[in-house]
Amino acid sequence: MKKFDALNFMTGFLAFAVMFFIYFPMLIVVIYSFNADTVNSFPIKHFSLKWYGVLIQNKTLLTSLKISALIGIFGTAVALVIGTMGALAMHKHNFKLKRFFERIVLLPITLPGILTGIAMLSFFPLLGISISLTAVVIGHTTFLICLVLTQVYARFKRLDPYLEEAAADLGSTPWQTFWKVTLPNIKTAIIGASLLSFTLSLDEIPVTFFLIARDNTLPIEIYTMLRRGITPEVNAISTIIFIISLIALILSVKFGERETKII
Amino acid sequence: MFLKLKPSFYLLFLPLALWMLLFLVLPYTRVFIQSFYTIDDFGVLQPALSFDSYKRFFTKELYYFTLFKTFGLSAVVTAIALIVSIPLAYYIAFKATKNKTLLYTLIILPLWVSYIVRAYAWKIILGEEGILNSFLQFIGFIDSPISALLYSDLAVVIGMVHIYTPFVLMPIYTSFEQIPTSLVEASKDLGANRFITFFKVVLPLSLPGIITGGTFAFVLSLGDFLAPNLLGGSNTLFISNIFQNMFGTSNDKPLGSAIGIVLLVVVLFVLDMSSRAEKRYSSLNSDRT
Amino acid sequence: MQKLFKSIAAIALAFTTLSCGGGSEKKAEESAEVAVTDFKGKTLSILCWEGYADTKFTKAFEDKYGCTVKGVYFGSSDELIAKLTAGGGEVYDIVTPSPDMAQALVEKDLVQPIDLTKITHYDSLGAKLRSMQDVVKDGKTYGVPFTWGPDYLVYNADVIKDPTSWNVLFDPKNKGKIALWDDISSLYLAGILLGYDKTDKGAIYNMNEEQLAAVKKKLMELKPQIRKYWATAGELDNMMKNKEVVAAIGWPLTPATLKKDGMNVKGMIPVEGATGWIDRLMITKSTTNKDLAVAWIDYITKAENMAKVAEATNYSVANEGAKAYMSPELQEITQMNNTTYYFEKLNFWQYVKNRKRYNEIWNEVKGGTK
Repeated sequence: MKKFDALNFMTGFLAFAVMFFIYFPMLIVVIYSFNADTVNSFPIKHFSLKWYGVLIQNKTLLTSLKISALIGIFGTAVALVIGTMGALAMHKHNFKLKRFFERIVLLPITLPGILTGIAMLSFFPLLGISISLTAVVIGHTTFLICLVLTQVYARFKRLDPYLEEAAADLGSTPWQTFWKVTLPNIKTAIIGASLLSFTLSLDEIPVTFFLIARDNTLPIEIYTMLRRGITPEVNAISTIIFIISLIALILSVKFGERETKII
Repeated sequence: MFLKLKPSFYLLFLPLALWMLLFLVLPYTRVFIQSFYTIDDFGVLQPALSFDSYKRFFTKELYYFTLFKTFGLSAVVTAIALIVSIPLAYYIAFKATKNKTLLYTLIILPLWVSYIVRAYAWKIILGEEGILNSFLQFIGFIDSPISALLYSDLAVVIGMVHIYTPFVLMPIYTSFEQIPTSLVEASKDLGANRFITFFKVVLPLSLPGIITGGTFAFVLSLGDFLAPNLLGGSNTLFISNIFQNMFGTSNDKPLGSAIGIVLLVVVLFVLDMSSRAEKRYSSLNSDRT
Repeated sequence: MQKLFKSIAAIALAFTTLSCGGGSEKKAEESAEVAVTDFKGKTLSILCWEGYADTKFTKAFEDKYGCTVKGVYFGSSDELIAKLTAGGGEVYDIVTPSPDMAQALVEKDLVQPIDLTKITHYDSLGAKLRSMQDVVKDGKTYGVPFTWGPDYLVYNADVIKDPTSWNVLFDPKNKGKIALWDDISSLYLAGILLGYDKTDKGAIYNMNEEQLAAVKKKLMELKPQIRKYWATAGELDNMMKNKEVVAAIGWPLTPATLKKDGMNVKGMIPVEGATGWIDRLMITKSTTNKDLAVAWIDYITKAENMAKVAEATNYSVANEGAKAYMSPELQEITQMNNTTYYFEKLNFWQYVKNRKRYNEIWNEVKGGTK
């Protein structure tokens, strides 16, 4: 039995307090999603599943969830193909602009989303793409490509370069080498990147905000609902998002690229 | 330079390069060009080479002062996020013996939870009839609700600290993890107490992580326009709100673009400074170890 | 589902054409040939103020034509312009601008003339509303009156007893409990408080620098009283419901909504006067659903449908005949029983030429800077 240590206790207490600060608001949302009352105040008088019922009736919100999911799936799929191909190219070849390119692809991840959103808003109409879901999908895909690229590229950098050479020496074609040697090695990075991409797309606001026209994505719909006044079904939908995020996170920690920064 | 490369390279690289050119590089270029345009009475863009927008930005207090104020508030958010993150990261890295992975997972979980949900949570907590006020009234701490909580700069800062703390926590934790325990032990063996060990050994070694985390928080707060919209009051005006205004409610695209370019330059400068500092401290570290 | 697949196809198309370096013509033409009466499966998109595409009155239209009516709400006039100029013209078929922007839409060539012969009930719309010239250009009419109302004083009658003047906003008792709209229309209000509209009603829409400076001073004076500048009517409702706000500039929608929640919130035009607005239905220049849009305008201007609009929005509607379908109570709320009074009292919005400057002043007020 260790003796009581004031300093250790303080650190532990502080750590716990911070953890509480991070989780308290989210717990509140989850708990209050079962509040039967319209006003979110303390204490809760009655518990009920009422707002989940209201939620199921809210067609606009459900449509926006569907739209978000589809954008996420589509954006992730395209980003995986283009991003992985690009990572492969950058891994295999050296070219003058490589350093420059490595920095460019970091921009959409590091720059404030509002900048990217407005840049796209200003330029897309010149390409004949007016604000619409199409524009939103392109916007999402752009930063998802960058995300996949950085993640997969990071994995490539840690790969044993001789593996592929060995495969080639043993007479396999580049195509075979890719499928039999390279892909299995980057598989987990790809799975991790796609989960992260999907979650980020599902949550994206700043870029979407400027490119959206008629059909809202889920976060934009929630934002609009909040702007029009607080409705308690936001608690319910938030709880559902919370659970989805939790599952995605657990999966991604299992597969993910832990050594690289995910942001 | 490209000539030496094999055709397979082009096949792999071309889609990426084209996509980035069309949907990223050209849009940014457009903002840059647009910042020199002018507009007519109805807000329609007129191609020109005019520095008016930049002149207005740097001469009107509304614009440059708001930029400074945004810097200030972002710095406050960053500072609090750092102060809050360090003890928790320290605890998980050095004190938690079991469930380390679980704890780590728990600190990155909020990153995965919708931004809008987190901002919204503060709205229902801080409101006049909100959870905090009704709780304080319930336990008899106050008689009438405190109205200054929501719709104020304070609410924006609290919300942002909450939203961006996990971004700060992660790199700090990672850099704590990388400190060899032998170093900490050595410091103790040499007679340094835990405070000295922390400030002279642990903290300097984790500077790269602290810088990265701080940069994240600073840049993200600098560009946030939603938290001020949702939680801010009559006094809250961030530069990104004006920026958004120019493309939305004010419809002055050249001035908006100029603000965007200034913001872009500032952010790139901060990112560059931070990556330099980070490199310097990590190389210092590797020299020492 | 289908929509997204369409978008995906569109991206694929955009990408292939773009990467070939040549931009192909857009699909603008194809819709022109669509048979006039067949609206089945089509979507009419209305870019409008909150509540102008309520299911209460869109449902019957949707059922009749087998189409979908989809409303997208904007929070301010400039947002409308921003959406339209960003290429939204192809996405939206109908817009409902207020008089501060209606003329700009016509001038900027973003909307198209409406064939009034196709609007069966046009002549039964308020003569005064029809007579406004800002949406007439070269003898052609670009907008059909839809709803109108005041930006008047909305107050919690349990807290404030029978106010007569806007001065209640400045009353120290209400400190931190006042809300203004986050819009340059707050400048019009300040102009009225300073009496700039005494000789010429239009003067508050064309104030000079000196007047604007005074307006700004007035608004800064009011600022310590303000809780929040509201962005949407729903936000104001919410703050009044939570008693975070006791008096505000607002629309008839707010008292009507809060009445349903059992609150004693009222609205009135103070002695100094108030501004008012007329929202019109306009058809975008690049709509791909022109016939459907005309059909909508024809449908919605009918007296009984206008009554449904009044019921859903609580605003006065353009067709006075709608009264026949409204309860006395609803007539009271929407001032439909008192249109002449309101018409005389209100100073209707006009296009602000120096909008950029107005916006800048408003931002300065919000930011508290010079």
